[in-house]
Amino acid sequence: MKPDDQRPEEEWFHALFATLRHAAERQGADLTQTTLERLRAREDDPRFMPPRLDGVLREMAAQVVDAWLALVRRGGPRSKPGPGSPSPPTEDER
Amino acid sequence: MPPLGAPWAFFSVALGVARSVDERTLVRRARAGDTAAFAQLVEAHQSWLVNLLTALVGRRADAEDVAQGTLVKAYYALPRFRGDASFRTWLRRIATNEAFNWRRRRREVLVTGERPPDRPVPSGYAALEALDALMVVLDSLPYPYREALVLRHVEELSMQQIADQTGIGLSAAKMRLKRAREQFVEVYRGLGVVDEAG
Repeated sequence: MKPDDQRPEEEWFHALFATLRHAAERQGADLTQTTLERLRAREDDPRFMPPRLDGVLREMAAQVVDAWLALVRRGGPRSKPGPGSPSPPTEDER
Repeated sequence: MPPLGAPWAFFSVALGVARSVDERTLVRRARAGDTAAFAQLVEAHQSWLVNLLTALVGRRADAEDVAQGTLVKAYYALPRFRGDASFRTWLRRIATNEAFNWRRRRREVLVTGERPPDRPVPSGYAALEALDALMVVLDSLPYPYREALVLRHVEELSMQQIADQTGIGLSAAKMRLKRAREQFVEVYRGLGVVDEAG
């Protein structure tokens, strides 16, 4: 079966695979209904998150991270002491 | 060139453009959630898709299952389809990834000992028909080799297209196809099948 000198390897393989190449012409397929049913079943699943929403959430998370990194690059967030924060040390304490 | 070459060529190009514009419209509508438009895309590509996946996974029933998974994945990935390549090229990439994942899952099942219904082991290789022999040999190859052979000889892609499709360099793609052919020939010769292609 080895492709011989008269018959280049490329041509030999091409001839051998002809049956697979033409299989679609002999046998059609009908996946439309089943595919749409699968889509509906998936979207009915309570755990399902539509990719568009997933994409929006990812985008928002990326923006928060970018904003935080930009803040850090500028020298970190300025922290103002909140109501429950310890007061800064006095001269005597230092 | 025959005298009618130019007009026919123009007609053919115009038809191709019209078809691709139509497909772009369908993709745009499907992306917006129009399932009827998506159904039309499925109808246009399903036979080709099942054929490709039969070559990649073996059994037609498995191929149809993987094809449905591919189409569902494609539907949700439509917002990311930029339209740089044709819809079919884009779908082919999803299909080959799905086929790869299917093969990996199947191997895991085999390792755990739950053997799924498989292609019946042929009793006499010499009696195999060409297509059966071809599928038996393809089943024996590692997935990347099988994929390279299918993309080249079933999908009839150029080496550059295979490289783009599989995400490897051109020389790596050529090397992969060369090794795939060598391994294919070795197994095929071992079956003792009469050379149908010769």
